[in-house]
Amino acid sequence: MKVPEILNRLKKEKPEICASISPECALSIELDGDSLLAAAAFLRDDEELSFDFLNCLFAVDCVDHLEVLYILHSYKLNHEVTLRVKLDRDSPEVESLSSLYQGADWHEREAFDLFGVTFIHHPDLRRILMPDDWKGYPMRRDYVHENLIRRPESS
Amino acid sequence: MAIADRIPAYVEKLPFGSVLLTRTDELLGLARSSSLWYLLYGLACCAIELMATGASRYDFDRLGMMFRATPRQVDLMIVAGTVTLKMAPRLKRIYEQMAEPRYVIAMGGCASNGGPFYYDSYSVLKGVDKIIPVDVYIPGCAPRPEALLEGCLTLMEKIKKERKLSQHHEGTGDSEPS
Repeated sequence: MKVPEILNRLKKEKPEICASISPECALSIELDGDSLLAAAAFLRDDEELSFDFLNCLFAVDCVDHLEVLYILHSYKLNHEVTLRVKLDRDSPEVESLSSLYQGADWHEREAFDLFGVTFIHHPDLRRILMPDDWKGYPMRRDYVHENLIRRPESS
Repeated sequence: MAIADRIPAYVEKLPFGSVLLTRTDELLGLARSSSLWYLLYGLACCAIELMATGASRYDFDRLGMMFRATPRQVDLMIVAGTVTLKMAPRLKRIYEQMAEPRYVIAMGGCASNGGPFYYDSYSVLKGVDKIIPVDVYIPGCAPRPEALLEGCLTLMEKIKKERKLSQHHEGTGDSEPS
């Protein structure tokens, strides 16, 4: 099933969910953070969609806001969709998908570790790559660290 | 006599055999440099070259070098690869577990000064010499086995020139006549 059809089905069956095709990428559906969990549960459990696999989950720093992207795949029907959630940069919070997809656990810990996104109701939200006592979130664009030396501009 | 060919020595032939007179430092230097057991500290792609050097084509064994997987049995630590800040305290601790005299080779750009990760990296240690003393640096990314062998031979020459015993006696005032 193509992405617009997936969106139409989602809107038809779950009219309360606020979703649209992302202006940045026609293959992704932009969602409101509050409706993410309900939308993902529908996408997973609906017979005609059957997104049974969370392929990937990652965060992006868009300078004025953060985004979390979820790539869902269906082994059963062999189609794919990307979900995008825009988050506030100062207090990025979104519901955890680990109750729906077990694999979300470590992906969400990585996004927390490197971007500082807080996943609500995550079973074990702590750093996964950086040392436990690390300060700050290194993949953010405004990150500074004593060990981080910027490459000089070439003349 | 093979040993007398390799270090300055006076040999007196006697009816029941021979007596060899030499400096203790020379003898220790020869012994230490001829059986450098090294710690496998492979952290990245340099470890592949390190393994190739240990295998049959380049054959570390012919230099008396054998790999060990524990710091307690080694004389030399070959840091082969990128040392992250997370790895750094572990590396220091393993170095401290090695018995003296101990030597360190920083293999490749990453271990020497951060290499390709010197700029724009928050997580890479800018050279292993920030935390432990280094005897020999080998440039390259990654250095070929020939370069690693050259580095090891350089270290062997360095060990042979060491005068640790006589320096120790001079330092304590318990000096031997020179």
